[in-house]
Amino acid sequence: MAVYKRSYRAYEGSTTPERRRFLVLSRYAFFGLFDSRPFTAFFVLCFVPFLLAFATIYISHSPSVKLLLGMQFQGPNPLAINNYFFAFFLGAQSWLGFLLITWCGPQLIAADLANSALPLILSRPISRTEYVIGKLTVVATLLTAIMLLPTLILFFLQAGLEGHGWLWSNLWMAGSIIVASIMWIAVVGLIALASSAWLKWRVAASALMLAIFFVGPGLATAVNLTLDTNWGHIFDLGYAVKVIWMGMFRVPFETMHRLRIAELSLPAAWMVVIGFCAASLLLLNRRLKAREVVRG
Amino acid sequence: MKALSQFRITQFRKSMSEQPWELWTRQIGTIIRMDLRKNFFSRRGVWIYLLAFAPVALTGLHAAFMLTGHAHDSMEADTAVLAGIFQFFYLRLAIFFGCLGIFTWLFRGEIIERSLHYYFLAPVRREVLLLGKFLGGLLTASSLFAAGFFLTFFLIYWPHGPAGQFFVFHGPGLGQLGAYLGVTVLACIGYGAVFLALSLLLRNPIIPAVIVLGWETFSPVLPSLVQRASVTYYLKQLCPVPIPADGFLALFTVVSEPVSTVAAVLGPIVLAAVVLFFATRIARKLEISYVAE
Repeated sequence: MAVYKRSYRAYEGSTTPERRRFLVLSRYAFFGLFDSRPFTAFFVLCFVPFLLAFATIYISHSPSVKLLLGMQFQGPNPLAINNYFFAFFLGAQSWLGFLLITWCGPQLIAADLANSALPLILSRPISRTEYVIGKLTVVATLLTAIMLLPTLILFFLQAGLEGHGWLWSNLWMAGSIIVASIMWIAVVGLIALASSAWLKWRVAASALMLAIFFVGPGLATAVNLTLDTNWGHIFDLGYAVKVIWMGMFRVPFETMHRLRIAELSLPAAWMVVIGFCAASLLLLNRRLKAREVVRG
Repeated sequence: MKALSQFRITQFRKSMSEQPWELWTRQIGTIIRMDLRKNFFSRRGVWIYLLAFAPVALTGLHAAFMLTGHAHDSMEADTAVLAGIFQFFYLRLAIFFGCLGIFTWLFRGEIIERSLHYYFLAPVRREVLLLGKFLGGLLTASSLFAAGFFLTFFLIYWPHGPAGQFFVFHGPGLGQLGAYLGVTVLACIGYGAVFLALSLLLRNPIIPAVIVLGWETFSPVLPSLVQRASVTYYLKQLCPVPIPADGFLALFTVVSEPVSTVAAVLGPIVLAAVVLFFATRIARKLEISYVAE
């Protein structure tokens, strides 16, 4: 067809319902992420602890396997499946999830900003909130797959194998697993998006994420040592999360004290987490604009 | 046989003396000057200042409390606090992340800003360029962290008045300051070389950096021989005030035989030399792809 015969024609295909439009962004982000073989390999590796924990629960309920492996314990059972077990497993998975998001999270928004694609995306019928939700969905889905679902599967496996009303007497733990996972998803997701929005170079954004979680404890130690206080922990986001999780999993105060996780009160820990999330949202709000100022 | 080796040594000496050392030195000087301008006076580098000078704010607050009589810490307690700040904050985290930022940006930054081809088009050997950039990064990192630690040291001992002055100028204070500053420079050399090489090898050196961080953190629980492959193994021994292992990891810490001071100083330098040698090989074959970044 000759060029002059081409004229504007409205799109006649089916459109995505308004409520689900943010998922278009998530879908394309997933395509981009799983295009990378190392990323896919690391994602699969994140399920290795799940398999080990699954085997542990099975072995702890199978007298024949224990006998076969010669595991006869005197005194307390080291294979006891209790709140400590689930808290430890969730903690291990959360760090694997954090590494995964540190790798992939920063490229979610940074690529759009670096290539000046944000004004183009926001000129479509999609709001800034939907844009953030679309990107956050990617982080949430990945972390749910790595943390929440495996832990819940293990919980119900334990309930099934233990029987005798274990599920009902420990149902609070399912709630703890869900709330703890959602909190971690919110914290890591918002920090990843905020660092991605402010630093166009994704390596720098990843480094910033690492620094928040690793330099924080160092700064906290420095504050505590210098000023002879425990309030330095307000700079340590990981510590605050640990305090909240220990509370959720009903770890006794004496144990927390022994593990040095009782130096920050629970309300203060919640304030730290909420503060980091609010700061991330504020930074995202300032950065994500449907326009671009070009200087020079 | 002896004559042959003598001949080879003479040939090597002759070849070395014929190299344009003066030109290379001038080129390295120019590259360092350009990099120092970029590193010190750019808005992008503000975070390094925050990292290097965060403990200065803390010790400033501590000094204010001391001077107003709200705190009464002994000299021994403050010396332990300073050792803790150096080992827990500077050595393990601030210098690590500072070098990660500074040294990975040396080449990757030029690629991001689409300016590396200007260097490659100039009649400068890649090895000279790499060495110049490394020295530029080293000067930046060393001077910032050393300045940060120097101010921290000053603010720790200044509120003690004449006792603090005596400790610094007539006691072990000045020697300790020298040791800390030396360890800072060595840490920048070791980490800097590793991150510079990683940035040449990989587009995203974050995952290897996490592995290096994990290695440096958990190496004390590994066998003594394996510990020698970490930078902190050498640097911890050079720290004038030892900090006993504490917490969960202390249970598994393997106490290794200390190496001599000379070996501890040479450790990071040799590591950096080896890593830089391999980095020059990578730099020689480096091709620019601005689209891929």
